[in-house]
Amino acid sequence: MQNLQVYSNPILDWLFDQNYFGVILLNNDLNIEEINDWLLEKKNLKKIQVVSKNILEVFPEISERNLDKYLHDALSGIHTFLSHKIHKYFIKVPYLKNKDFEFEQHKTEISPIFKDEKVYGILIRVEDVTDRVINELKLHNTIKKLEQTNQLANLNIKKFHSLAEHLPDIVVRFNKDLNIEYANKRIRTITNLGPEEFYNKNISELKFPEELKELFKRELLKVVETKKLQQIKFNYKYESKDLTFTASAIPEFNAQNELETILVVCRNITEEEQAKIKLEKYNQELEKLNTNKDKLFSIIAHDLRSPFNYLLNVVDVLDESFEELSQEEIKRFLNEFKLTTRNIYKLLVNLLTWANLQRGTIKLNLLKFNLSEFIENVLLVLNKIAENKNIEIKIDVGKDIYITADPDLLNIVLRNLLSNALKFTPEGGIVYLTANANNEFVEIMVRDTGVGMSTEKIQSLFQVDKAKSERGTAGEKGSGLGLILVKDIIDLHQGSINVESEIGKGTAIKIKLPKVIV
Amino acid sequence: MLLTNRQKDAIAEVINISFSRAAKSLNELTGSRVVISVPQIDLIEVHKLEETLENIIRDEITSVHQIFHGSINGDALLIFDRESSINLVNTLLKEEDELQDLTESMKEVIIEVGNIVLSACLSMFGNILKVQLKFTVPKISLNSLSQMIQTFEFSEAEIKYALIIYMDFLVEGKNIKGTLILVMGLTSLEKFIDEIDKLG
Repeated sequence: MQNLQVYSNPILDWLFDQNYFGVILLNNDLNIEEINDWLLEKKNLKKIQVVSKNILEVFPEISERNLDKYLHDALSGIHTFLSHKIHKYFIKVPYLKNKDFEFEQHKTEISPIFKDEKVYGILIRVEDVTDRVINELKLHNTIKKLEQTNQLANLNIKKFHSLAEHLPDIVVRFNKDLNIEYANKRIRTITNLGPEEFYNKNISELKFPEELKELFKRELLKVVETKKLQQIKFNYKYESKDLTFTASAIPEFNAQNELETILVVCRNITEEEQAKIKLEKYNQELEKLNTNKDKLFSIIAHDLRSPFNYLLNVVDVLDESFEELSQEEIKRFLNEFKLTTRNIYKLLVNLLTWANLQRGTIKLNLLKFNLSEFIENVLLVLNKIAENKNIEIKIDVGKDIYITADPDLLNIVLRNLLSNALKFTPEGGIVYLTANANNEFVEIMVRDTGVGMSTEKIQSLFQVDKAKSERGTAGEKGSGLGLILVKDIIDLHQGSINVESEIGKGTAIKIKLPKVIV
Repeated sequence: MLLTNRQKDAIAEVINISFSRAAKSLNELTGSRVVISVPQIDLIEVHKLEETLENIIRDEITSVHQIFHGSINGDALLIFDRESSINLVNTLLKEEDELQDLTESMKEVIIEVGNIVLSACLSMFGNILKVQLKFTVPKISLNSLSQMIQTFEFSEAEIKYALIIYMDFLVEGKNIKGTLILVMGLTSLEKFIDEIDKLG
C-alpha cells in the first residue's frame, strides 16, 4: 500500500470530482486508491467496499476478458486506449435506458503515472459513449436509407428515361417554374433541335409560336394551381404540314405530396383527326343515301301507286261500262287518263334523273345556248296547264342572255319550278319568269302570286327526309321530289338557289348559275 | 544527417519486430488477419517533411499523435490519408455495412490502432535506449499536412529530424498504406543511432 499523497495533486482532485466519466486510481499493486462516485453509483458500490481492494477482485470482468494485460502494460509505462467498438467496455455497467444495448459502451484510457522516472500507479478513465453510439447508429441507418432512396430514385429515373425514349409520344418534364428538366428524342418530330437544347430552358425561351407558348403556359400554371391533370389540344405547323396534337399535363408529387414537376405527354393525332373527319363525311353520306333510299321507297309506295290505282279504275270502268257511257263521259275519262299518265311520266323522269344524280352517273353535258329560246321550248309543255287554270305566265328574259348548262337538266329545273308555281297559284293568278345576267352569273327567277309558304316549310323544301308534297290549288298531286331534284341539279352546276315566300302573297325562287363552270 | 543503408536495415529490423507484436495484438482484438511490414525508411530534416509527404498524401490526413519524453523527447505519429483510415477501420472490423465517413466511434478505433502501433514502436525505442519513455494520451486529428506539422513539440533551437517509416498494413488481403513518423531532436536521434549501431 502506497501513500496516497504520492498521487495527490490538484489535477487528480479535479478528476475525481467529475461526475460525467469514471475515474479509478490504482497503485502499482493494482489496488484501488481512489474511485469516483460516477462509477460507484453505476456499480452500486460504496467507496469503503472497494478502496484498498485489488481492482481485479472488485471488477472480475477485467481478468475474465483478459483485459488485465493492459494494466500490466501500464505498469511497464505503456499508455492504452480501448475503443468501445473493439472492447465494448473495460468495466461492465448494465445499460438501463433502453434495450439497444445490454451494457454501457465505454471508451477507456489506462495511463501509467510516473514519479521520478518510475511508474507509481495507474489512472483509469472510463467514458460512457452509449448514447452517442446509438445516435451514430441512427444516423448510419438514416444515411443508408437515404443512399438506398437515392439509388432507387436513380434507378427510377433510369427506368423512366428508358421508357420515355421508346415512347411514340413527345415527353417533356417541366419544373414548377416551367423550366424544362427533360425532353425525349421525339421532340425532334416537331423541331430541328435535339432534346439537350431544351434542358433548363424556360417555356418562354422556346422557339415556338407565341400563341402556342401562351396556351401551354396557361395550362401548366393551371396544373401548378389545381394540382390536377390538364388536357390540351393544339395545332402546330411544322415543315409545311398541319399537325394536330393532344397533350396531357400530369402533376408529379414528391414524398411530402408537394407538386414537384409536371410531365407533359404530347401525342400526334393528325392522322386520327383526318380519319375522324373522313369517317364523319362517310357517315353523312351514308345517312343521306339511307334517307334517299327511304324517299325512293316512299315515292314508289305512294306517289306511283295511287295514280296507277286510279288509272286501273278508269280502265276498268271504260272496259266494263263502255257501252253504257256517253261520248262526253268517255272523253272526260280519257282526259283524266291523259293527265294522270302525264303526271306519272313526269314523276318517272324526275325519279330517274334524281336516281342518276344520286348514283353520280350523270355527267354534265354543258352547252352554251340562248336562254330566251330555251325557255320558249320549256313553256310549250306548260302553257296548256296554265291555260287550264287560267294563269298568265309573264316572261321577261332578254333575248341576248346566253347560258352554259346541261340543257336536259336545266329543262327539268325550269319545268319543276314553273309547274310548282302553277300548282300553288289559284285560277286567274300570274306566274312571272324573269332572267338577268352579268359577267359572272345568270339569275333566273320564277315568282307566283300563289298561296305562299311558311318559313318552316321553306327550310324543309330541300331536305330529302322532310320534304312533303302538298296538293295544289286545284288538287294537283306531287311527290315533293321536284325541288330536291332542282337543288341537286343547281349544285351540280355550282350554282345556288334561294327561296322567298310569304303566305297568301306568293313565292319567288331564284336560281343563280355561274357563266363559267369549273 | 544521413542514415547508411546498414543503419536503415537495422532500424527496419527492430521496427519490424515491434510491429509484428502490434500486428498480433490487432489480430487478437479484431479477429482479422493483420500483417504490418516496413518497406522503406527515410530520415529527413523536419522542415522538409511537408514536401516529402505531400507526394504520397494529398488529401486531408488522419493522424494519431503521441508525445514522448524521458531521456529522449519527441513526437510519434501514425498517419493515413482519409480514405485509407476509413478503409482500415472497415476492413479491420469486417464492417459489411460500410460508411464512407469517419464517425466518432471509427475515430476511436483509429486511436486504438495508432496507440498499439505507436506504443510498440516507442517501447522498442525505450528498450533499445534502455530508458523508460513516458508518453501522452494518444490524440487523433483530421487536418491538412501543414496543420499537422504545426502540432509538433518544438523545443529550443535544436535541429529536428523526422524518421519516416513507411508502412503497409495487410489486412484481410487488402494493402492499406500508412506512415509512422518519429520527430526527434539531434541529440535524441544520435543516441538512438548509436544504440542501433551497437546492435549491428
